[in-house]
Amino acid sequence: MKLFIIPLLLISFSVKSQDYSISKIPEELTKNADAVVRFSEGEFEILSIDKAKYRTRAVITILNKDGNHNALISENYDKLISLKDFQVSKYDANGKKVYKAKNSDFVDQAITSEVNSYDDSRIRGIDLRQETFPYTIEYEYELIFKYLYFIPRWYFHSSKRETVEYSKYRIISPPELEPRYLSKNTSEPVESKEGEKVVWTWERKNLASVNPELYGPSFYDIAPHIIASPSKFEFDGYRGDLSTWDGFAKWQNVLNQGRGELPIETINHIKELTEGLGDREKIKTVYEYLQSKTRYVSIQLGIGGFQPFPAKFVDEVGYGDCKALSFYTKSLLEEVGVTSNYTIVYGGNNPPKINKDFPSPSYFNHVILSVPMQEDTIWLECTSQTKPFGYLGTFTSDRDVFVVTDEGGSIVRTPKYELESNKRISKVHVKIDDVGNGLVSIDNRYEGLEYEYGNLNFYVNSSTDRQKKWVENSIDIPSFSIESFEFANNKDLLPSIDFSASLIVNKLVSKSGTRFFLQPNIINKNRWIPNKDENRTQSIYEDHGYWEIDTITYELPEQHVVEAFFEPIEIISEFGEYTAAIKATEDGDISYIRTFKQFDGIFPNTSYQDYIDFHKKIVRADKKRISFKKKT
Amino acid sequence: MKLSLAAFTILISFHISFSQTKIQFGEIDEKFFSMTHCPFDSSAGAFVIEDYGFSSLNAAYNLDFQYHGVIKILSKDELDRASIKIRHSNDSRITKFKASTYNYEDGKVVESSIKKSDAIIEKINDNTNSFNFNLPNVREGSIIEYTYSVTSGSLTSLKTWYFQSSIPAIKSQYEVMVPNYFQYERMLQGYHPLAKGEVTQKYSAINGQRVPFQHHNYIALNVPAFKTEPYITTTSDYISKIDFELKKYQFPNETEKVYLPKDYAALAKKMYESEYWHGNITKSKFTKDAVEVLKVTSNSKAALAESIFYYVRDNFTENYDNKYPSLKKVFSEKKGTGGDINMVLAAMLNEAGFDVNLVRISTRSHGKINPHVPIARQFNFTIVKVIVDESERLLDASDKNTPYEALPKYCLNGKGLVIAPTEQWVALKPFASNGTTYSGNFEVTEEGILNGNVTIRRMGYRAWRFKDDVEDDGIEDYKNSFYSNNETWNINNHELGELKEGYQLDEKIEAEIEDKVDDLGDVMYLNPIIVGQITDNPFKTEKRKYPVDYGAPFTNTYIMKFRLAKGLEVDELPQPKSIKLPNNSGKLLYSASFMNGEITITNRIQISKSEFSSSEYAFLREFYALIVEKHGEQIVLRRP
Repeated sequence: MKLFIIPLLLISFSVKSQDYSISKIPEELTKNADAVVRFSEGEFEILSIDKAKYRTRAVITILNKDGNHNALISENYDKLISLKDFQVSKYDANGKKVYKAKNSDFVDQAITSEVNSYDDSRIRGIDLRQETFPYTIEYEYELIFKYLYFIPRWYFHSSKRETVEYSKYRIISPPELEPRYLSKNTSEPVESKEGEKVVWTWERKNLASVNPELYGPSFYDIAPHIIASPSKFEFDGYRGDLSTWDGFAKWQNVLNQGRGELPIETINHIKELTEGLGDREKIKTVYEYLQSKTRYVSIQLGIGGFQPFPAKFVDEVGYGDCKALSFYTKSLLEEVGVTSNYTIVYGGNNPPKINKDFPSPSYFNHVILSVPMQEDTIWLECTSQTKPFGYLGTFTSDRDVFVVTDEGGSIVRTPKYELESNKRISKVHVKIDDVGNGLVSIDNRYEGLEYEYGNLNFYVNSSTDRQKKWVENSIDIPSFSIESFEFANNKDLLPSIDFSASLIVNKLVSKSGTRFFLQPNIINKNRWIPNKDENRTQSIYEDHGYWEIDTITYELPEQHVVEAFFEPIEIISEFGEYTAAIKATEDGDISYIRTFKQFDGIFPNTSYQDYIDFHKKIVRADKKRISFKKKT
Repeated sequence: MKLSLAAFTILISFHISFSQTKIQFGEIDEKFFSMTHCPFDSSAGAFVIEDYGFSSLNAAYNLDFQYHGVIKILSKDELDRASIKIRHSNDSRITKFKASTYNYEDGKVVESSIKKSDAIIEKINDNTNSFNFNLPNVREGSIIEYTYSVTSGSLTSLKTWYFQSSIPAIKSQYEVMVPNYFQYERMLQGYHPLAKGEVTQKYSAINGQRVPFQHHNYIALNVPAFKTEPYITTTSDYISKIDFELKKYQFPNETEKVYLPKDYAALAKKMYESEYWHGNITKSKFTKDAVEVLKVTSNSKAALAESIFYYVRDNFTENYDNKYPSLKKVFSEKKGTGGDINMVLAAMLNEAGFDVNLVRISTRSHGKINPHVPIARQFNFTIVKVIVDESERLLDASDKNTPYEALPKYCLNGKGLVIAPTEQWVALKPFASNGTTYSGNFEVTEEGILNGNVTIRRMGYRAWRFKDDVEDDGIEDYKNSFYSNNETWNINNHELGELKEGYQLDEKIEAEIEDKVDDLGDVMYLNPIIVGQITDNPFKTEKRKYPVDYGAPFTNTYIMKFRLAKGLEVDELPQPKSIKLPNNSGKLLYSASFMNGEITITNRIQISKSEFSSSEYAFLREFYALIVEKHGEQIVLRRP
């Protein structure tokens, strides 16, 4: 048996013996809440230019099942961040301590994604969830940073539907390393001195819960919180100053310095490939060379989280992460006489708003390349083997990004894909036989951001096995068999995918007695309606505008005529426009034409009911039926 | 259980001289470079050219496992196959590592290799490491190859070999070489026949003596990719694989040591005599006080058994933090694993004087029991068998919503082994009344709006599952999601009832519904299946190799009534329909009538058995196609 000697720790927090019984919670804090933060305290202390310490302690009472996530307590660490003095306890409703975690109670494991990553991150944690309520958990721990680069954000509430009895955040720093901070949705801190050190304190009491609404801004945007960032700092021996974008850029340039060298064979090869080409063509050739040669592998080890692998390494092994692949491409471009810029971005939905006066690396999670041209800029996503040249897509378009040049750094906005360029056009022909089976031929085009419709951009490059799944999932007909299908990938600057298919549908139209019933919108039914919310307080966000145009022609079985169909429908609102109409052609056939424009923008909360109604009407219109029967 | 070196009384060294039949590293047939698809599955994005495993004993009595794999990458979405993580115990090391990528460039094969030092060893937890590496220069058309050896400490079970994976394989081979001192049970499973499966005697030198070895050689060719389908227990019940379990060993001039029990009777007996299993529940004094309290309120023996069950079910929480606590501690802390909670139940029943036994089972997600090989770790859960009023009952008190009368669905996996002095198996039977009844009563207004209510009565597994879900997500979330799935309903009242008689749960919705009727002026169409409409056939693939496993039979019933407002007439009703699946294993009834101003649509869908074989699949698929069709049919109303 092993014996552990646990050192006694002197915790500098003022741990007063407090009463955590549920009866002590002010009544208004228990209303509409799943949990109450009884007490929380965080303290980030800059010890020196390359050392920092973060300590936190919290006591949270969990009122019901939805608050139970608070009892899953964990923290991440790695080789450069050590996690110390992790203490966890549990109290019953009367405030009596019923559990204190032993060292062996904690789970400690590597954080590992399933594929392609080099990562030394670990997680240590404990699950204190239980099924009877209320109960109270308490935790505290310390993180020692062997560098200074980030300062953790502080949220007084740990999540939505939580109230706060007491919460405090402190940042402590020697005066020469004074960090910068922003008080978001809350008031400014109290500044004081502790010896030589400067201390900023945010202390809050009795905060109501923060409850985000669907299709509105997220909890992280609207909750009161503190963002802070070092000014002078050092990471793994690299010193820098984050207080200006230029300073940030300068540091990144130092990290990148001397890593662009390429083997002479590669230089000769790429020069040969691009010989005689104009600049645009050159860039495209280099980009396509990159795509054919490399694949993405995530690397998060120490400074490797910020410093690209040398270009030579990528050249040799054919893989790298976003930094390495972008930097490799930059080095290749340099060899053919094209200057490009290392560009640090946030990739994904809901990019954080960048405060231009508050430089910080914490806005970003990804790197791309920008190539300034005479009249525009070409943007290159270097981690994808398949993205069309110059296409940003939903991942990085329409946001502020940080462009690092030799001279310094600046915030630049990536282009936006406007409504008119995001089009989904369907041309469908349906031949119905006299038992109601249908032969359906589809010609669709997905353009602009619609290139990513249902992850089409991924499937277009996949095995036919996966493509078939996309077809099965994206076509709205309950059961059909696929005769044939085909994709054409047009990798233009505004890319598009042409999809054509031929399907056989058993019982496309249902026959009841002597009539056939048909919902003419067989491929693009909108079913989505926003949730009811009578007290909407926040604005409504629509990030992308798009346009759908569907034309479906029906060839009825012989001797059959349309019996009844609906009048043209037009639905117009501030959120978009919809039309649907049936036309009978001269040879007895029918055509269904539907158009839908979704506007993008931020709409006022007062329009929420209109938002629901607009979608309700569309859902209803998309379900309209027509009937036909045999001529008598 | 781990077989340690100390278990052997003699130390000898093996020199295994034996020629393996696999291809050598780097010897890749040129034809694979030009291939643009898998020869027998054109839809695959990658395929295995060769997958080879070899398990053998080394001189230190450890198991050596050698692996050699060759994969052809065809499409870009499969490039991640070149990032490889090999999990192994942290007391073993990866050796003899080689890895290469081959690309065909300008008419010749270009090889890019990595060394062992290019890999990263990641600590997963206290027992497990992961050996991670990325093959270089992998792109569409590349062939990747890697090989390694690893020692594993356990002789009791050799490495499981999967002939099948998510991509097709041209060849998959497993060889095993063990001295006859060791006898293994082998368990072969799957729906793809082996091309070769042979065991031969070979001789090899040990301490200068010729010692007989068993050489196993299994080859599967053109193995299709494994694709998961709806209604299965767990993937590992269907995929093609082979397992080896140490049965016994005997060295020359030594007595035989038996590792696996002789049969299930022996396994059951051993557990019956074990302090940990049956022994544990007979020492039940610590439950005495609690049992006495329950006795006071129970007026019969049968009532006492039931109240003990509910006492345990409603007061104990499942918790997997503590490994191997004493039963007494589980009892005092009121928490433990599901199996421990059931052992407390057994102890209390024992204390109350019932004839009680533990039953070991394997849950559905844990896979089927091999009926021939008595391996204890095939079981992963414990339930309780008790005799009440001379009849046998099986109980599981660890599931919050399952009543005294039923076993939870996760238990329904064939049969369970009773921990008793003799071999006894008990069938894990599903609860009898399962399904959902949808009863609607609506007024059809002149404008074509439906006004009325619908009651959804969930029974048995449907009811318990529903209660679990609602309790997990909260009633508000459930109602919200109901609302978003039925967007065009104006809901006036929405009530969720409590469990009735332990197995029925009613949900009642009063609403005004606009979208079920299409108003086209003279005529109106009404889809009568107001809720629970089946719009999709779950059985998409045309053929299926393995059985359909529902877990339990069920019946769904729809009774929808519509009273017509003045000024509306019935023009046409859907046609009645009645069909049966072969051997009465399922039926569909559909009828429509109009009497006294009221339309009644009745539909019953009945599945009468839990499992359907692959030969019955076509009927089942057709059956669902017909359901989808009938559920899409319309009532035609007319304004005269």
